Amino acid sequence: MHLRVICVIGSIAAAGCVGSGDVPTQLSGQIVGIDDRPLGPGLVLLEKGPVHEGAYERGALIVDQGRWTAELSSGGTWGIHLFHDDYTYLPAEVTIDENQQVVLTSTNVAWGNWMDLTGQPTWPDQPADSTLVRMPFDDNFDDNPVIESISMEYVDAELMRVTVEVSDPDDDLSRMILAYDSATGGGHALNPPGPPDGLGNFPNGTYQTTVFLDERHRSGETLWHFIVSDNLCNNSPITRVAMPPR
Amino acid sequence: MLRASCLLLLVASMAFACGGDDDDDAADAAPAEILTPEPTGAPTAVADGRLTCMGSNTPDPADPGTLELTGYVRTLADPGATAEPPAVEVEAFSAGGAPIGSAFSDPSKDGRIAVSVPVQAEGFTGYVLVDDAAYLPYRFQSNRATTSTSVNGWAWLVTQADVDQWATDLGITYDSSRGVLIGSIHDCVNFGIGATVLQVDGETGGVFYSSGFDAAVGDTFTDASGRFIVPNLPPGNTVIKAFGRLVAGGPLTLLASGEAEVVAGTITSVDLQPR
Repeated sequence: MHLRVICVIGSIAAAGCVGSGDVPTQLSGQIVGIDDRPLGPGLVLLEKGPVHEGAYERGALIVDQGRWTAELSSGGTWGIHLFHDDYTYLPAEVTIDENQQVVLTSTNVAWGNWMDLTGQPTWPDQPADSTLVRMPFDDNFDDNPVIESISMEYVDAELMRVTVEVSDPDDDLSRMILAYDSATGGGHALNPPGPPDGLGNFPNGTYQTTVFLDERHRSGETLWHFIVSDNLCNNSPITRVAMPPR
Repeated sequence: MLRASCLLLLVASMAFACGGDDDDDAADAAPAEILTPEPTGAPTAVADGRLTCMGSNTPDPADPGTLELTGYVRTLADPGATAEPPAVEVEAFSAGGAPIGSAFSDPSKDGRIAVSVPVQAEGFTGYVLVDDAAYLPYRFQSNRATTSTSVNGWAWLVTQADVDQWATDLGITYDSSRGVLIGSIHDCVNFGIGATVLQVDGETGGVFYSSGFDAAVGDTFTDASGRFIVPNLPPGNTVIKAFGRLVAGGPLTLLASGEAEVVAGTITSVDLQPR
Protein backbone atom coordinates (compact mmCIF):
# COMPACT_ATOMS: atom_id res chain seq x y z
CA MET A 1 0.00 0.00 0.00
CA HIS A 2 1.37 3.38 -0.89
CA LEU A 3 1.75 5.83 1.89
CA ARG A 4 -0.55 8.33 0.32
CA VAL A 5 -3.40 5.96 0.71
CA ILE A 6 -2.84 5.87 4.39
CA CYS A 7 -4.51 9.18 4.74
CA VAL A 8 -7.72 7.69 3.52
CA ILE A 9 -8.63 6.57 6.94
CA GLY A 10 -12.15 5.60 6.51
CA SER A 11 -15.02 7.80 5.78
CA ILE A 12 -17.29 9.95 7.76
CA ALA A 13 -20.89 9.10 7.58
CA ALA A 14 -23.27 11.70 6.45
CA ALA A 15 -26.72 12.45 7.63
CA GLY A 16 -29.01 15.17 6.51
CA CYS A 17 -32.30 16.18 5.15
CA VAL A 18 -33.33 16.02 1.55
CA GLY A 19 -34.14 19.30 -0.01
CA SER A 20 -36.01 19.97 -3.19
CA GLY A 21 -36.18 22.26 -6.16
CA ASP A 22 -33.38 24.78 -6.35
CA VAL A 23 -32.02 24.37 -2.84
CA PRO A 24 -28.26 24.10 -2.75
CA THR A 25 -26.26 20.93 -2.51
CA GLN A 26 -24.46 21.61 0.72
CA LEU A 27 -22.06 20.05 3.19
CA SER A 28 -21.48 21.33 6.70
CA GLY A 29 -19.94 20.19 9.91
CA GLN A 30 -18.36 21.06 13.22
CA ILE A 31 -14.93 20.10 14.53
CA VAL A 32 -13.65 19.94 18.07
CA GLY A 33 -10.26 19.41 19.68
CA ILE A 34 -8.96 16.91 22.19
CA ASP A 35 -10.67 18.77 25.01
CA ASP A 36 -13.96 18.89 23.15
CA ARG A 37 -13.69 22.61 22.62
CA PRO A 38 -14.70 23.80 19.15
CA LEU A 39 -11.72 24.49 16.91
CA GLY A 40 -11.23 27.50 14.74
CA PRO A 41 -10.23 29.13 12.58
CA GLY A 42 -9.57 26.33 10.19
CA LEU A 43 -9.96 25.35 6.59
CA VAL A 44 -11.83 22.75 4.52
CA LEU A 45 -10.89 21.76 0.99
CA LEU A 46 -13.20 19.57 -1.06
CA GLU A 47 -12.43 17.39 -4.03
CA LYS A 48 -15.06 16.09 -6.41
CA GLY A 49 -14.68 12.33 -6.51
CA PRO A 50 -13.32 9.80 -4.03
CA VAL A 51 -10.97 11.23 -1.44
CA HIS A 52 -7.43 11.49 -2.85
CA GLU A 53 -8.75 10.40 -6.24
CA GLY A 54 -10.88 13.40 -7.06
CA ALA A 55 -10.25 16.93 -8.27
CA TYR A 56 -10.22 20.00 -6.04
CA GLU A 57 -13.17 22.25 -6.65
CA ARG A 58 -14.48 23.87 -3.51
CA GLY A 59 -13.53 24.97 -0.02
CA ALA A 60 -14.80 26.65 3.11
CA LEU A 61 -13.55 28.37 6.22
CA ILE A 62 -13.99 26.81 9.63
CA VAL A 63 -15.21 29.71 11.69
CA ASP A 64 -17.11 30.25 14.92
CA GLN A 65 -17.56 27.21 17.12
CA GLY A 66 -15.68 25.04 14.67
CA ARG A 67 -18.47 25.18 12.14
CA TRP A 68 -18.14 25.18 8.37
CA THR A 69 -20.50 25.11 5.40
CA ALA A 70 -19.66 24.56 1.76
CA GLU A 71 -21.90 24.68 -1.28
CA LEU A 72 -21.10 22.00 -3.82
CA SER A 73 -21.34 22.15 -7.57
CA SER A 74 -23.26 18.87 -7.73
CA GLY A 75 -24.21 15.75 -5.88
CA GLY A 76 -22.02 12.67 -5.92
CA THR A 77 -18.98 11.52 -4.00
CA TRP A 78 -16.81 14.20 -2.43
CA GLY A 79 -13.48 13.98 -0.63
CA ILE A 80 -13.22 16.26 2.39
CA HIS A 81 -10.05 17.54 4.02
CA LEU A 82 -10.29 19.32 7.38
CA PHE A 83 -7.37 21.46 8.54
CA HIS A 84 -6.42 23.21 11.75
CA ASP A 85 -2.98 24.52 12.66
CA ASP A 86 -2.50 22.46 15.80
CA TYR A 87 -3.93 19.22 14.49
CA THR A 88 -3.16 16.59 11.89
CA TYR A 89 -5.46 17.02 8.97
CA LEU A 90 -8.49 14.79 8.74
CA PRO A 91 -9.63 13.25 5.45
CA ALA A 92 -13.16 12.05 4.95
CA GLU A 93 -15.53 11.12 2.17
CA VAL A 94 -19.25 11.43 1.66
CA THR A 95 -21.73 10.69 -1.07
CA ILE A 96 -24.45 13.28 -1.33
CA ASP A 97 -27.54 13.59 -3.49
CA GLU A 98 -28.25 16.63 -5.59
CA ASN A 99 -30.04 19.36 -3.58
CA GLN A 100 -29.28 17.59 -0.34
CA GLN A 101 -27.86 19.28 2.74
CA VAL A 102 -25.61 16.98 4.70
CA VAL A 103 -23.98 17.32 8.10
CA LEU A 104 -20.86 15.27 8.65
CA THR A 105 -21.11 12.90 11.56
CA SER A 106 -18.59 10.60 13.18
CA THR A 107 -20.94 7.70 13.82
CA ASN A 108 -19.68 5.59 10.97
CA VAL A 109 -16.03 6.62 11.03
CA ALA A 110 -13.79 3.72 10.08
CA TRP A 111 -10.55 5.03 11.52
CA GLY A 112 -8.50 2.05 10.43
CA ASN A 113 -5.12 1.03 11.72
CA TRP A 114 -3.67 4.49 11.81
CA MET A 115 -1.19 3.69 14.57
CA ASP A 116 0.19 0.64 12.78
CA LEU A 117 0.64 2.46 9.52
CA THR A 118 2.01 5.76 10.69
CA GLY A 119 3.48 5.18 14.12
CA GLN A 120 1.63 8.28 15.19
CA PRO A 121 -0.80 8.48 18.08
CA THR A 122 -4.04 6.78 17.44
CA TRP A 123 -7.02 8.68 16.20
CA PRO A 124 -9.02 10.13 19.02
CA ASP A 125 -12.18 8.65 20.38
CA GLN A 126 -15.14 10.57 19.12
CA PRO A 127 -17.61 12.59 21.18
CA ALA A 128 -20.96 11.13 22.10
CA ASP A 129 -22.59 13.77 19.93
CA SER A 130 -21.91 12.32 16.50
CA THR A 131 -22.27 15.69 14.78
CA LEU A 132 -19.01 16.75 16.44
CA VAL A 133 -15.86 15.48 14.73
CA ARG A 134 -12.78 15.45 16.93
CA MET A 135 -9.56 16.24 15.09
CA PRO A 136 -6.36 14.20 15.70
CA PHE A 137 -3.82 16.25 17.68
CA ASP A 138 -0.42 16.82 16.10
CA ASP A 139 2.23 16.25 18.78
CA ASN A 140 5.20 16.68 16.46
CA PHE A 141 5.53 19.76 14.29
CA ASP A 142 9.08 18.92 13.19
CA ASP A 143 7.92 16.82 10.25
CA ASN A 144 5.33 19.26 9.02
CA PRO A 145 5.72 20.73 5.53
CA VAL A 146 6.53 24.40 5.14
CA ILE A 147 4.93 26.88 2.79
CA GLU A 148 6.75 30.12 1.93
CA SER A 149 7.02 32.91 -0.60
CA ILE A 150 3.44 33.03 -1.73
CA SER A 151 3.10 35.19 -4.80
CA MET A 152 -0.01 36.39 -6.60
CA GLU A 153 0.72 38.33 -9.76
CA TYR A 154 -1.70 39.66 -12.35
CA VAL A 155 -0.88 38.39 -15.81
CA ASP A 156 -3.47 40.68 -17.35
CA ALA A 157 -6.90 42.07 -16.50
CA GLU A 158 -8.42 38.60 -16.18
CA LEU A 159 -5.63 36.26 -15.16
CA MET A 160 -3.68 35.91 -11.94
CA ARG A 161 -0.73 33.57 -11.44
CA VAL A 162 -0.32 32.02 -8.01
CA THR A 163 3.00 30.48 -6.94
CA VAL A 164 4.21 29.07 -3.63
CA GLU A 165 7.48 27.61 -2.40
CA VAL A 166 6.98 24.33 -0.59
CA SER A 167 9.38 22.09 1.32
CA ASP A 168 8.97 19.11 3.57
CA PRO A 169 11.51 17.94 6.20
CA ASP A 170 10.94 14.28 5.49
CA ASP A 171 10.39 14.59 1.75
CA ASP A 172 6.99 12.98 1.50
CA LEU A 173 4.86 15.79 0.13
CA SER A 174 1.47 14.82 -1.18
CA ARG A 175 -0.31 16.36 -4.16
CA MET A 176 -2.17 18.52 -1.67
CA ILE A 177 -0.61 21.92 -2.29
CA LEU A 178 -3.92 23.69 -1.90
CA ALA A 179 -5.49 27.10 -1.93
CA TYR A 180 -8.92 28.42 -1.05
CA ASP A 181 -10.28 31.55 -2.71
CA SER A 182 -12.62 33.37 -0.31
CA ALA A 183 -14.18 35.42 -3.09
CA THR A 184 -15.50 32.45 -5.05
CA GLY A 185 -15.47 29.59 -2.56
CA GLY A 186 -13.20 27.77 -5.00
CA GLY A 187 -10.62 25.21 -3.97
CA HIS A 188 -7.46 24.86 -6.02
CA ALA A 189 -4.65 22.32 -6.24
CA LEU A 190 -1.44 23.88 -7.49
CA ASN A 191 0.58 22.20 -10.24
CA PRO A 192 3.86 20.56 -9.17
CA PRO A 193 7.35 21.39 -10.45
CA GLY A 194 8.24 17.76 -11.09
CA PRO A 195 7.00 14.20 -11.03
CA PRO A 196 6.30 12.20 -7.89
CA ASP A 197 8.52 9.28 -7.00
CA GLY A 198 7.29 5.71 -7.09
CA LEU A 199 5.67 6.15 -3.69
CA GLY A 200 3.73 9.21 -4.74
CA ASN A 201 5.96 11.66 -2.86
CA PHE A 202 6.03 14.97 -4.69
CA PRO A 203 9.15 17.15 -4.86
CA ASN A 204 9.96 20.26 -2.89
CA GLY A 205 9.96 23.41 -5.00
CA THR A 206 7.69 25.94 -6.67
CA TYR A 207 4.05 25.01 -7.20
CA GLN A 208 1.82 27.18 -9.34
CA THR A 209 -1.48 27.71 -11.02
CA THR A 210 -3.24 30.42 -12.99
CA VAL A 211 -6.71 31.64 -12.15
CA PHE A 212 -9.32 33.47 -14.18
CA LEU A 213 -10.68 36.44 -12.23
CA ASP A 214 -14.21 37.73 -12.39
CA GLU A 215 -16.45 40.29 -10.76
CA ARG A 216 -16.45 38.43 -7.47
CA HIS A 217 -12.80 39.34 -7.06
CA ARG A 218 -13.60 43.01 -7.42
CA SER A 219 -16.42 43.21 -4.96
CA GLY A 220 -15.89 40.37 -2.55
CA GLU A 221 -13.29 38.91 -0.25
CA THR A 222 -9.70 39.14 -1.40
CA LEU A 223 -8.15 36.75 1.09
CA TRP A 224 -6.64 33.48 -0.10
CA HIS A 225 -5.84 30.63 2.29
CA PHE A 226 -3.01 28.18 1.58
CA ILE A 227 -2.30 24.79 3.11
CA VAL A 228 0.14 21.98 2.33
CA SER A 229 -0.03 18.37 3.46
CA ASP A 230 2.33 15.43 3.23
CA ASN A 231 1.46 11.80 2.65
CA LEU A 232 1.27 11.11 6.40
CA CYS A 233 -1.36 13.80 6.90
CA ASN A 234 1.03 16.31 8.46
CA ASN A 235 0.14 19.79 7.33
CA SER A 236 1.65 23.24 7.26
CA PRO A 237 0.09 26.13 9.12
CA ILE A 238 -2.78 27.72 7.23
CA THR A 239 -1.27 30.76 5.52
CA ARG A 240 -3.46 33.68 4.54
CA VAL A 241 -2.55 36.23 1.88
CA ALA A 242 -4.67 39.02 0.43
CA MET A 243 -4.80 39.50 -3.32
CA PRO A 244 -2.75 42.53 -4.33
CA PRO A 245 -4.70 45.57 -5.49
CA ARG A 246 -5.40 45.75 -9.20
CA MET B 1 -1.67 -7.85 -32.48
CA LEU B 2 -1.61 -4.53 -32.81
CA ARG B 3 -1.91 -2.63 -29.81
CA ALA B 4 -1.19 0.36 -31.77
CA SER B 5 -4.51 0.60 -33.19
CA CYS B 6 -6.21 1.05 -30.14
CA LEU B 7 -5.87 4.31 -29.13
CA LEU B 8 -8.44 5.94 -27.33
CA LEU B 9 -8.04 8.79 -25.41
CA LEU B 10 -9.13 11.94 -24.40
CA VAL B 11 -8.97 14.29 -21.66
CA ALA B 12 -9.13 17.63 -22.92
CA SER B 13 -11.46 19.23 -25.15
CA MET B 14 -12.25 21.37 -28.01
CA ALA B 15 -14.71 23.86 -28.87
CA PHE B 16 -17.02 21.82 -30.89
CA ALA B 17 -19.82 21.58 -28.62
CA CYS B 18 -22.01 18.65 -28.84
CA GLY B 19 -25.59 19.56 -29.06
CA GLY B 20 -25.09 22.50 -31.28
CA ASP B 21 -26.01 26.03 -30.52
CA ASP B 22 -28.94 26.19 -28.15
CA ASP B 23 -29.66 29.72 -29.23
CA ASP B 24 -29.93 28.86 -32.84
CA ASP B 25 -33.42 27.56 -33.48
CA ALA B 26 -32.80 27.24 -37.17
CA ALA B 27 -29.81 25.02 -36.55
CA ASP B 28 -31.72 22.95 -34.01
CA ALA B 29 -34.48 22.43 -36.51
CA ALA B 30 -32.12 21.49 -39.32
CA PRO B 31 -32.29 17.88 -40.46
CA ALA B 32 -29.56 15.63 -39.21
CA GLU B 33 -26.68 15.07 -41.60
CA ILE B 34 -26.88 11.78 -43.44
CA LEU B 35 -23.93 9.86 -44.87
CA THR B 36 -24.81 9.07 -48.44
CA PRO B 37 -23.92 7.23 -50.48
CA GLU B 38 -23.07 4.69 -47.85
CA PRO B 39 -19.54 3.31 -47.97
CA THR B 40 -18.86 -0.29 -48.82
CA GLY B 41 -19.14 -2.46 -45.74
CA ALA B 42 -21.29 -0.01 -43.81
CA PRO B 43 -22.91 -1.58 -40.75
CA THR B 44 -26.49 -2.72 -41.04
CA ALA B 45 -27.04 -2.78 -37.28
CA VAL B 46 -28.21 0.13 -35.19
CA ALA B 47 -25.37 2.10 -33.58
CA ASP B 48 -24.64 0.27 -30.34
CA GLY B 49 -24.59 2.85 -27.58
CA ARG B 50 -26.71 4.95 -25.26
CA LEU B 51 -27.61 8.02 -27.26
CA THR B 52 -30.35 9.61 -25.23
CA CYS B 53 -28.40 12.88 -24.97
CA MET B 54 -28.31 13.38 -28.72
CA GLY B 55 -29.40 16.88 -29.58
CA SER B 56 -28.99 18.28 -26.09
CA ASN B 57 -25.49 17.46 -25.00
CA THR B 58 -24.11 20.91 -24.42
CA PRO B 59 -21.85 20.98 -21.34
CA ASP B 60 -22.97 22.86 -18.27
CA PRO B 61 -21.03 26.09 -17.78
CA ALA B 62 -17.85 25.95 -15.76
CA ASP B 63 -17.26 28.00 -12.64
CA PRO B 64 -14.68 30.62 -13.69
CA GLY B 65 -11.38 30.28 -11.89
CA THR B 66 -9.39 27.11 -12.27
CA LEU B 67 -10.41 23.64 -13.32
CA GLU B 68 -8.56 20.41 -12.71
CA LEU B 69 -8.36 18.29 -15.84
CA THR B 70 -8.27 14.73 -14.61
CA GLY B 71 -7.50 11.47 -16.33
CA TYR B 72 -4.95 8.69 -16.62
CA VAL B 73 -1.78 8.34 -18.65
CA ARG B 74 -0.53 4.85 -19.41
CA THR B 75 1.37 3.11 -22.15
CA LEU B 76 -0.10 1.32 -25.10
CA ALA B 77 2.04 -1.65 -24.15
CA ASP B 78 0.40 -1.87 -20.74
CA PRO B 79 -3.01 -0.23 -20.86
CA GLY B 80 -4.14 -1.98 -17.71
CA ALA B 81 -1.15 -0.65 -15.74
CA THR B 82 -0.09 -4.08 -14.54
CA ALA B 83 3.27 -2.43 -13.91
CA GLU B 84 3.76 1.14 -12.75
CA PRO B 85 3.13 3.51 -15.63
CA PRO B 86 5.69 6.22 -16.32
CA ALA B 87 5.62 9.61 -14.65
CA VAL B 88 5.35 11.99 -17.58
CA GLU B 89 4.67 15.68 -17.83
CA VAL B 90 1.30 16.61 -19.27
CA GLU B 91 0.94 20.17 -20.51
CA ALA B 92 -2.38 21.83 -21.26
CA PHE B 93 -2.78 24.45 -23.98
CA SER B 94 -5.56 26.86 -24.78
CA ALA B 95 -7.40 26.55 -28.08
CA GLY B 96 -5.08 29.27 -29.32
CA GLY B 97 -1.99 27.26 -28.40
CA ALA B 98 -0.91 29.13 -25.26
CA PRO B 99 0.46 26.95 -22.43
CA ILE B 100 -1.88 27.24 -19.45
CA GLY B 101 -0.77 24.55 -17.01
CA SER B 102 1.24 21.40 -16.56
CA ALA B 103 1.49 18.53 -14.10
CA PHE B 104 2.88 15.01 -13.85
CA SER B 105 1.12 11.69 -13.92
CA ASP B 106 1.46 9.71 -10.70
CA PRO B 107 2.81 6.15 -11.04
CA SER B 108 1.63 5.32 -7.53
CA LYS B 109 -1.93 5.98 -8.65
CA ASP B 110 -1.94 3.97 -11.86
CA GLY B 111 -0.94 6.99 -13.92
CA ARG B 112 -3.47 9.42 -12.60
CA ILE B 113 -3.08 13.00 -13.79
CA ALA B 114 -4.65 16.26 -12.65
CA VAL B 115 -3.70 19.52 -14.34
CA SER B 116 -4.97 22.79 -12.94
CA VAL B 117 -5.84 25.25 -15.71
CA PRO B 118 -7.60 28.62 -15.77
CA VAL B 119 -11.08 28.54 -17.28
CA GLN B 120 -13.99 30.83 -17.91
CA ALA B 121 -17.59 29.67 -18.21
CA GLU B 122 -17.05 27.96 -21.56
CA GLY B 123 -14.63 25.58 -19.86
CA PHE B 124 -11.46 24.07 -21.23
CA THR B 125 -11.49 24.01 -25.02
CA GLY B 126 -7.84 23.44 -25.78
CA TYR B 127 -5.67 20.35 -25.99
CA VAL B 128 -3.29 18.41 -23.81
CA LEU B 129 0.20 17.34 -24.88
CA VAL B 130 2.57 14.64 -23.64
CA ASP B 131 6.00 15.15 -25.17
CA ASP B 132 8.25 12.61 -23.50
CA ALA B 133 11.40 11.32 -25.16
CA ALA B 134 10.41 7.69 -24.70
CA TYR B 135 7.21 8.08 -26.70
CA LEU B 136 5.92 9.79 -29.78
CA PRO B 137 4.48 13.22 -29.03
CA TYR B 138 0.88 12.72 -28.05
CA ARG B 139 -1.77 15.40 -28.08
CA PHE B 140 -5.37 14.84 -27.23
CA GLN B 141 -8.52 16.82 -27.35
CA SER B 142 -12.26 16.40 -27.26
CA ASN B 143 -15.11 17.73 -29.31
CA ARG B 144 -16.83 18.69 -26.07
CA ALA B 145 -15.61 21.44 -23.76
CA THR B 146 -14.45 20.27 -20.35
CA THR B 147 -16.42 22.14 -17.71
CA SER B 148 -16.28 19.82 -14.72
CA THR B 149 -13.61 17.99 -12.77
CA SER B 150 -15.01 14.58 -13.60
CA VAL B 151 -12.40 12.20 -14.95
CA ASN B 152 -12.05 13.06 -18.58
CA GLY B 153 -10.32 9.99 -19.93
CA TRP B 154 -7.13 8.15 -20.62
CA ALA B 155 -4.05 8.45 -22.78
CA TRP B 156 -2.06 5.41 -23.88
CA LEU B 157 1.37 6.54 -24.92
CA VAL B 158 2.64 5.15 -28.21
CA THR B 159 6.23 4.29 -29.06
CA GLN B 160 7.79 4.29 -32.50
CA ALA B 161 7.93 0.50 -32.26
CA ASP B 162 4.19 0.43 -31.65
CA VAL B 163 3.59 2.44 -34.79
CA ASP B 164 5.95 0.31 -36.84
CA GLN B 165 4.18 -2.82 -35.72
CA TRP B 166 0.85 -1.28 -36.44
CA ALA B 167 1.94 -0.28 -39.95
CA THR B 168 3.17 -3.79 -40.63
CA ASP B 169 -0.06 -5.36 -39.48
CA LEU B 170 -2.19 -3.02 -41.53
CA GLY B 171 0.04 -3.35 -44.58
CA ILE B 172 0.86 0.31 -44.92
CA THR B 173 3.97 2.45 -44.85
CA TYR B 174 4.17 4.96 -42.07
CA ASP B 175 5.19 8.42 -43.23
CA SER B 176 6.77 10.36 -40.36
CA SER B 177 6.28 13.64 -42.21
CA ARG B 178 2.58 13.14 -41.66
CA GLY B 179 0.52 12.60 -38.55
CA VAL B 180 -1.56 9.82 -37.09
CA LEU B 181 -5.09 10.48 -35.90
CA ILE B 182 -6.59 8.11 -33.40
CA GLY B 183 -9.63 8.30 -31.22
CA SER B 184 -12.93 6.93 -30.13
CA ILE B 185 -16.60 7.68 -30.58
CA HIS B 186 -18.44 7.68 -27.25
CA ASP B 187 -22.04 7.51 -26.18
CA CYS B 188 -23.80 9.57 -23.53
CA VAL B 189 -22.32 7.59 -20.66
CA ASN B 190 -18.86 7.56 -22.18
CA PHE B 191 -18.77 4.01 -23.44
CA GLY B 192 -17.72 3.32 -27.00
CA ILE B 193 -20.30 3.12 -29.75
CA GLY B 194 -20.20 0.09 -32.02
CA ALA B 195 -21.42 -0.03 -35.63
CA THR B 196 -20.36 3.49 -36.56
CA VAL B 197 -18.50 4.73 -39.61
CA LEU B 198 -15.87 7.46 -39.38
CA GLN B 199 -15.39 10.11 -41.99
CA VAL B 200 -12.27 12.27 -42.03
CA ASP B 201 -12.24 15.41 -44.16
CA GLY B 202 -15.14 14.03 -46.15
CA GLU B 203 -13.55 10.63 -46.80
CA THR B 204 -14.38 7.29 -45.26
CA GLY B 205 -11.46 5.57 -46.95
CA GLY B 206 -8.19 5.36 -45.07
CA VAL B 207 -9.89 4.89 -41.72
CA PHE B 208 -9.01 1.72 -39.80
CA TYR B 209 -10.95 0.31 -36.90
CA SER B 210 -9.94 -1.55 -33.78
CA SER B 211 -11.11 -4.62 -31.98
CA GLY B 212 -10.67 -3.63 -28.40
CA PHE B 213 -6.96 -2.96 -28.09
CA ASP B 214 -6.04 -5.00 -31.15
CA ALA B 215 -6.01 -4.10 -34.80
CA ALA B 216 -9.05 -5.13 -36.74
CA VAL B 217 -7.69 -5.46 -40.25
CA GLY B 218 -10.55 -5.47 -42.70
CA ASP B 219 -13.18 -4.10 -40.33
CA THR B 220 -15.31 -1.38 -41.88
CA PHE B 221 -16.93 0.09 -38.78
CA THR B 222 -16.30 0.41 -35.06
CA ASP B 223 -16.61 -2.35 -32.55
CA ALA B 224 -17.90 -1.73 -29.03
CA SER B 225 -14.73 0.18 -28.14
CA GLY B 226 -15.60 2.83 -30.72
CA ARG B 227 -11.91 3.16 -31.60
CA PHE B 228 -10.43 4.12 -34.91
CA ILE B 229 -7.11 5.09 -36.43
CA VAL B 230 -6.24 7.18 -39.46
CA PRO B 231 -2.57 7.07 -40.46
CA ASN B 232 -0.61 9.41 -42.70
CA LEU B 233 -2.80 12.48 -42.55
CA PRO B 234 -1.27 15.73 -43.78
CA PRO B 235 -0.53 18.25 -41.04
CA GLY B 236 -3.26 20.78 -40.41
CA ASN B 237 -6.81 20.97 -39.19
CA THR B 238 -9.00 18.01 -39.96
CA VAL B 239 -12.73 17.38 -39.53
CA ILE B 240 -13.89 14.06 -38.09
CA LYS B 241 -17.47 12.83 -38.21
CA ALA B 242 -19.05 9.65 -36.90
CA PHE B 243 -22.21 8.19 -38.46
CA GLY B 244 -24.48 5.41 -37.29
CA ARG B 245 -28.03 4.15 -37.62
CA LEU B 246 -30.43 5.38 -34.97
CA VAL B 247 -33.15 2.91 -35.99
CA ALA B 248 -33.08 -0.39 -37.82
CA GLY B 249 -33.06 0.22 -41.54
CA GLY B 250 -32.53 3.92 -41.04
CA PRO B 251 -29.86 6.03 -42.69
CA LEU B 252 -26.32 6.54 -41.39
CA THR B 253 -26.91 9.64 -39.30
CA LEU B 254 -24.35 12.02 -37.86
CA LEU B 255 -23.72 11.10 -34.24
CA ALA B 256 -20.74 13.31 -33.44
CA SER B 257 -18.29 15.62 -35.13
CA GLY B 258 -15.18 17.51 -34.18
CA GLU B 259 -11.98 19.06 -35.39
CA ALA B 260 -8.42 18.23 -34.55
CA GLU B 261 -5.07 19.60 -35.56
CA VAL B 262 -2.86 16.92 -37.04
CA VAL B 263 0.87 17.45 -36.45
CA ALA B 264 3.67 15.68 -38.33
CA GLY B 265 5.26 12.82 -36.42
CA THR B 266 2.70 13.16 -33.66
CA ILE B 267 -0.12 11.02 -32.40
CA THR B 268 -3.26 13.14 -32.30
CA SER B 269 -6.10 11.66 -30.32
CA VAL B 270 -9.63 12.95 -30.48
CA ASP B 271 -12.50 12.04 -28.25
CA LEU B 272 -15.87 12.31 -29.97
CA GLN B 273 -18.94 12.80 -27.83
CA PRO B 274 -22.51 12.77 -29.17
CA ARG B 275 -23.47 16.02 -30.82
